[in-house]
Amino acid sequence: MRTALLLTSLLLPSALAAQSSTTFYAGLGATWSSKLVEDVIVSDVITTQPAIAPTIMVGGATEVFPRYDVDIELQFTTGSYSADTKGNGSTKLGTLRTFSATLGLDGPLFKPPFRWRASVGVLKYLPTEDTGMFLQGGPLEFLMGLGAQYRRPVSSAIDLSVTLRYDFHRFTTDELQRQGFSQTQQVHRVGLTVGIAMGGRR
Amino acid sequence: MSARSNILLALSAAVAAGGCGDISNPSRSNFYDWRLVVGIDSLTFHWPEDHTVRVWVQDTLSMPANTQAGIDTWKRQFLYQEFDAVLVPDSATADVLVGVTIPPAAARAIRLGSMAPECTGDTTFPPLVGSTIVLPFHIRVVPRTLDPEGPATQACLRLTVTHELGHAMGLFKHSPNPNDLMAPDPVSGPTARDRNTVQQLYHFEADLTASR
Repeated sequence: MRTALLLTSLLLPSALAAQSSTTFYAGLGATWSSKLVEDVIVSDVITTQPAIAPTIMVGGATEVFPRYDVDIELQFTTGSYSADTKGNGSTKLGTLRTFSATLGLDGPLFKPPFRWRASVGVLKYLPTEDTGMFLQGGPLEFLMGLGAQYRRPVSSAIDLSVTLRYDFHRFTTDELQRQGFSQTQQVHRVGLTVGIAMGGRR
Repeated sequence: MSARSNILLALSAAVAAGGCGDISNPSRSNFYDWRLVVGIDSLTFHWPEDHTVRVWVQDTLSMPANTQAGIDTWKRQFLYQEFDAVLVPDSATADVLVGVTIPPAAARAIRLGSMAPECTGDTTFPPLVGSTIVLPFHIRVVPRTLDPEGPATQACLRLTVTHELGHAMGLFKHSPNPNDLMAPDPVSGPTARDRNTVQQLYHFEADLTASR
């Protein structure tokens, strides 16, 4: 399974890039997330929030209209998350990973090296341990986002790519609901990745 | 459609979706009193959040497995890892001793008990020294049937040791509700009331500390 995924990830970009209208891009960076939950117990105000998380992102885009592309983007983040009690320190709760898959539309922004992107997709929370609010596992949430990308040629085939992403989803878990939490938390994430882009529009 | 209108459309959708309220925490108003009454004082004790409670268990009648299940049950009641405990092999360094032949902690120990048809249990600790509990807590769980390895007795041992661990965590009073784990004769649990109570306890300022 892992070998098949590795081969796919290595061969897919080349295959996509071989078509002139198709772009492949990949990057490494970091993602910041707003709080997942704010809770009050007795007089303690407890905020649970992921730390800034290392991020890997891959995507492929193909032209559908002149100047506009449709793309698929996969993003994986991994980092710690903690519960901060106002005025009373912080508790590391473990490692929290997320995987998102989004379908996007992108087009020109200001001048040619810059492009905007709007997207929808899904985000899966993958805690390494099923404890606390993730006692019954991590949720799958609907996601939408906006972004911008800057590309600059560094060789005849490869561009440097700097990608800024913002996305939004609503968060809760089965365990939070079981414990009586109502409604959902709006979660905002901002990610910055630096990587390469091949093929397509330059 | 222009690039600018696309961006505005997506931004509007994001703002519209984000306009709803945030998550609301439960009130946790349904709980019972946990405090230890000494004279005219009602005292609160809980383990410090950065302390992993060391539990030694007598290796008989599946008590290590039953005790581990009890620890896991209590840990699952928390959202923010306020409580943690591990089984340790050395009774000399343990904070809590668990067994079927554990004697009371002292001749005039403070005793919190439970009783079911298949087994009984109690948790004892010596009289307070000022505002300090002198460790370890002694938990004794005793089968009352001729078949202590039988499923009914084992279920009782597991439930009772979980109840007694609740006392050693600072739930020093019994719940008046018979369905709660911390009822004097527990039959099941923990309930939402048990969870609310232990969550409140671990965010309440402690009057008592524990040391050896």
